[in-house]
Amino acid sequence: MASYERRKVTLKSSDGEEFLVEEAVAMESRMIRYMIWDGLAGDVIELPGVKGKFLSMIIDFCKKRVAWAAGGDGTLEGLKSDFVKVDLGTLIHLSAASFCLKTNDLVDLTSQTLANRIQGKTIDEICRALNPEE
Amino acid sequence: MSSVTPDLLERWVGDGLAASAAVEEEQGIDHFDRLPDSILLVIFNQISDVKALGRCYVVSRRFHSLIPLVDTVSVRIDCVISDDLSTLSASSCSSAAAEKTRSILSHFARVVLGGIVRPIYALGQILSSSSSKRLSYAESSFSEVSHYSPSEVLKNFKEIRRLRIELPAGELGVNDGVLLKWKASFGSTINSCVILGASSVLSSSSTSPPTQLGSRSPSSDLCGGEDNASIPESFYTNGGLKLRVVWTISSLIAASARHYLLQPIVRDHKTLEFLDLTDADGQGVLSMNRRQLQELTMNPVSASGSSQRTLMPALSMRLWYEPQLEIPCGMMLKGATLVVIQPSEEKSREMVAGGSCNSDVLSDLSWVLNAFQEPYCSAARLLMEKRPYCLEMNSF
Repeated sequence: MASYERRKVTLKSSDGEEFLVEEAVAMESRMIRYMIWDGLAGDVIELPGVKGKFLSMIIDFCKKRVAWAAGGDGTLEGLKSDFVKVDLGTLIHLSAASFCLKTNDLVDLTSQTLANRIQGKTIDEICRALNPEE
Repeated sequence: MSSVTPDLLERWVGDGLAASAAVEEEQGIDHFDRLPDSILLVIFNQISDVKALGRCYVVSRRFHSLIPLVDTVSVRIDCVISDDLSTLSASSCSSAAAEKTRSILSHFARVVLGGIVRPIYALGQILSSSSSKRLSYAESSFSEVSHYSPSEVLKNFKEIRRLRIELPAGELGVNDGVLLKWKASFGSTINSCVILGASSVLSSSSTSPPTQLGSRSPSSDLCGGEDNASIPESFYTNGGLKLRVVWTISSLIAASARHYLLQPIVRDHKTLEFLDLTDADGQGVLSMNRRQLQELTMNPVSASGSSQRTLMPALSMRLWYEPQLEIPCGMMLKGATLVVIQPSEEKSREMVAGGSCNSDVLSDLSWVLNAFQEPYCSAARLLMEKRPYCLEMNSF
């Protein structure tokens, strides 16, 4: 098993944060995957639709998932449930970011979690969730 | 639906995605505006419960415009109200339920069996879906409970493809310990029905090993030429057959009553592709697929006499029986029965096409086994290895 340098790529968020990740992790995002396959990606891939805070959470999840698939500990269910243990506002941002990046299973996961959160709420509670500042 | 109050309207923040993060922070824009319509629709389809969707409907203008596009909806009905009661009564659901009993079959039960089966609760013309939460928000000035029929509740949805309605309980009042489950499929009229029943269900450890078990050689003749495949004579004489006939007729009446009630909903929602009408007890399932829904739209249903249920055509029935049946999950069914019902016309078409008795049973196998989930699916499969008893029934 020869060691080789795994290709890395830099992802840049809308607010200028940069993340250096392995290509395999970055390719969890379909959007990035197709860009790389089509030769449209340079060393730095700009993601204007995604803020650094949320990009880092998604990258973190993708890293863990790649590690798990390679025979790591824990369960996929555990990883997923940890990912969505966030407040509603963050969850919505993560959902939008996943949609942007086309990480489809994260889109499904966040949508399902949002659905569960909305389901039991009264109208007032849903309105408050929409506009927490007011 | 309740009207949107002015302060609610003030909270809505426009359609589509927000322009930029900075603008968002300034204006305190609706969080959900970050999400495109397609994701919101995914979320609403996953919620699918009509009461929750009804709440979302009045939350913001954007939600208001998206909710009618939801294609997967489920309606859980709280209580059933018969024709006789005023829908504006202040009575709570539970007292309404107590008064709802208007048995359409009690007369029949008395004639046939002298009350072994408790009267069937008829479905009234108005199925109610009352929601006290919704009431407390939208109509707090009223003290009475508001009732809405499923048709009313669903009228704002324009694109429903999959609809599931759940009744609060199965219509058939059975004595304790009796197992009775049915699954029926209808177009304009009944296409098929499968009923599984048992006079009691026990765990197999508590009973002594029966002489006739569900263990058969794999090469057993499906036509049932062997002796142990026949139904014991006592079944016919000790009232066993009569009881099963009552189960069958009760289940068919419940199914046809449900089918009749679905007509206005099917008529109002031409986009429907799948419709299931189930109950919280898991007793009966009526399902319709796209072809059947179209058939019903083109050929509306004829009622049977003055009752609120669809006319049943002449039917062919096959009945399998086993006095004691052990099934894989450690259960023992006593008096286990499977009844497979099809319109006589359909059955004779199959016989002509299929030829022998063998292929007839084989062609039945797949859809019957799909009717129930485990462990009942195994029970059905084991029962079908025996020779059936055949019955014909007139239209009713």
